[in-house]
Amino acid sequence: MNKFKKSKEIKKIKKIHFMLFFIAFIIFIFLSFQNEEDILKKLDENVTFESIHYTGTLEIIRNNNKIIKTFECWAKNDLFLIIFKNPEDNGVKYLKKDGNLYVYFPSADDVLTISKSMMKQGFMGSDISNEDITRNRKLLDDYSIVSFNKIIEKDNIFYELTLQAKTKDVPYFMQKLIINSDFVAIKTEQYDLAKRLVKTIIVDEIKKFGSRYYPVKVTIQDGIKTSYKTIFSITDVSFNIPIDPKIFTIQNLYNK
Amino acid sequence: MIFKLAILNIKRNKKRSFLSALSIFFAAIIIILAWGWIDGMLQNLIDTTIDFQTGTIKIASESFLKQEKFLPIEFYIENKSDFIEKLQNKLSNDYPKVNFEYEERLNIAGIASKGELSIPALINSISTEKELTKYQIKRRKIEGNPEIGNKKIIIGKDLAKKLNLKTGESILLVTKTYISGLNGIKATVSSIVDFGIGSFNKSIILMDINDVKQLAKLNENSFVQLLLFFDIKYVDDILKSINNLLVNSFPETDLKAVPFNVSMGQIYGTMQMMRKVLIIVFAFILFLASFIIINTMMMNIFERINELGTLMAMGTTKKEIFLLNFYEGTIIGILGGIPGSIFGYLIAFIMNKIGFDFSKLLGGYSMLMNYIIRPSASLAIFFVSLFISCIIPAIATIIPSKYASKLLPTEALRHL
Repeated sequence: MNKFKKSKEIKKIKKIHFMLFFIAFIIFIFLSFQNEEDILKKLDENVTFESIHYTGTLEIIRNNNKIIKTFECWAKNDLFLIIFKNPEDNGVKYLKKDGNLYVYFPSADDVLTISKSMMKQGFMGSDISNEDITRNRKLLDDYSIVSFNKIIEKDNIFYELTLQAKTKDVPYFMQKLIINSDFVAIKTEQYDLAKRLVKTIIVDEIKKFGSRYYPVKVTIQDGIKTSYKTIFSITDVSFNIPIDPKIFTIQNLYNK
Repeated sequence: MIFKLAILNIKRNKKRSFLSALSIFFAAIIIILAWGWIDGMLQNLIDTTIDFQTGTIKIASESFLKQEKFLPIEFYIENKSDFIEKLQNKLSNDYPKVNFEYEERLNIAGIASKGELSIPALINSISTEKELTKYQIKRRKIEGNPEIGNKKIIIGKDLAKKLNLKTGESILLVTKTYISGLNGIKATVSSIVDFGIGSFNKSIILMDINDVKQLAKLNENSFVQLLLFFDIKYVDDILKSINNLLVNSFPETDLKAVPFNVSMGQIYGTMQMMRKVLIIVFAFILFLASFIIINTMMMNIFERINELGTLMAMGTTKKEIFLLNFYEGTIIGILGGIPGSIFGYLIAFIMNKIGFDFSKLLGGYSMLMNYIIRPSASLAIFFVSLFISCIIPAIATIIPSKYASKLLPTEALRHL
């Protein structure tokens, strides 16, 4: 009888142990995912701001030709205004408002609404698409992590993440990111639905603004035409400065 | 003597001879009309492509030609006036009797926008008055007064409908500039037209060459492609002359001259092959029609077998018996073939002048083909039809003639 009781108790203890082990395993799994998600959250935090103002340069390289475009940008939450300054495109303005993209042409004194079909086209002929510049969603909203690696190289920690789109409503089906210890994606490879490389983004220069690390020079390389690339750099950067919301209106585009 | 006898035999049973000749008559008509239709359609495709895309010879930079389907504008050539002057001098010296037309082309992909509506469009330049006549604008206008220049445009009817446009209204035209930027200009619709080509109605905007250059921010004294139009029979010789000029006077550029058949690529080769195949197909149709002659001749031989036996008994040789039947069949063939070819040619000629409107059938297609199809009525088709409609019945007659010549007089006389 005693023997029978003992074996029952042993079974109960084993059950509890198994349950505890299972819970610990679930917590471990949860924590490890939390860790990867934290990395992406921190990455997003670095590039999220209330407002920003900067002077930008686009170096568009096509085989042996190089075209340089300069512009000034103001952005606040989900709005932005870009005004081109280089002589060839002087006065061309881009406005993002209510999820739409508008382009003002001084030669026509008229505004073009960029349609959905034009969103895949290059922003001012560069390797950055109109979709890239208008998209303002956090990575975790659209992508789930399918692989994660922690790499230690010369005492530096890098995180290698592969993200896969949760929905079809994203410009890239898969993204491979290498994130440094300052939570900046130093290299991003973007792939289409057929898992073909569409473009590679390499961060050439990072600057610290307060507690934030922000890429100030980026090279965007076409995945198929390797001799096509765009170097995007920004100077005179100011974060979280007061910007008059009136500048983000279509009427304002017509102001000289 | 044998020939006269053959004619007498034909006259003896006029109804049967007439019916046999009638089959050849209709076969010849069918050949000319079917050939005319198919050739007319192929020629329509070639002419439309030459007029709107390739010219007889196209001159452009090699980089442009490699990426032509993307309509790149960054591969432009400076000093247009100097280039055209040298080209004109060279060609007028080398070929004083050939009439040349020079047209500069700048076709760009863009966006036509009115209010919130934005639709992709193809903006085609017009550099000469003559170029505008190729589009037959005045005949095809639906509304307005077709004018270009001073940012006035002519627009295809389907594109105008999509944009809800009327003549006199303005639209925003946007395109990529030669330095990878975007530029837009306001243009006024002078006329809405039915181009007669489905794909053109859906996307084409015609604009003065200088306005297109302004839109693409290109210098007025530059060109992207230059098209030459002349009689295609001189194409090989003129191509050599142009290549000499390019090598000797413009070695620093990557300019290249391309004849229309090369620009059209495999399509042109296929069309030429189709034309050759058609001759064989039509010869076969005529051979089938000739079976009626074979049948008539065989009936003749069986009906007149006793006569043939008498002729043989009287000393007529086998060769003469063969010739008698051969002449008979060939004359019937000629009696049907000549009027059939003439009548077929006349019908084709009238059809060519009238032309047939296939807009309902071709309207939905994006093929570069004019809605108005005119069957070919060339003398070449007439003579080829005449030749095969006379020769093939003659060849077909050999079979019963040989049969008759092989008959033995005793065997033939047994039928008495």
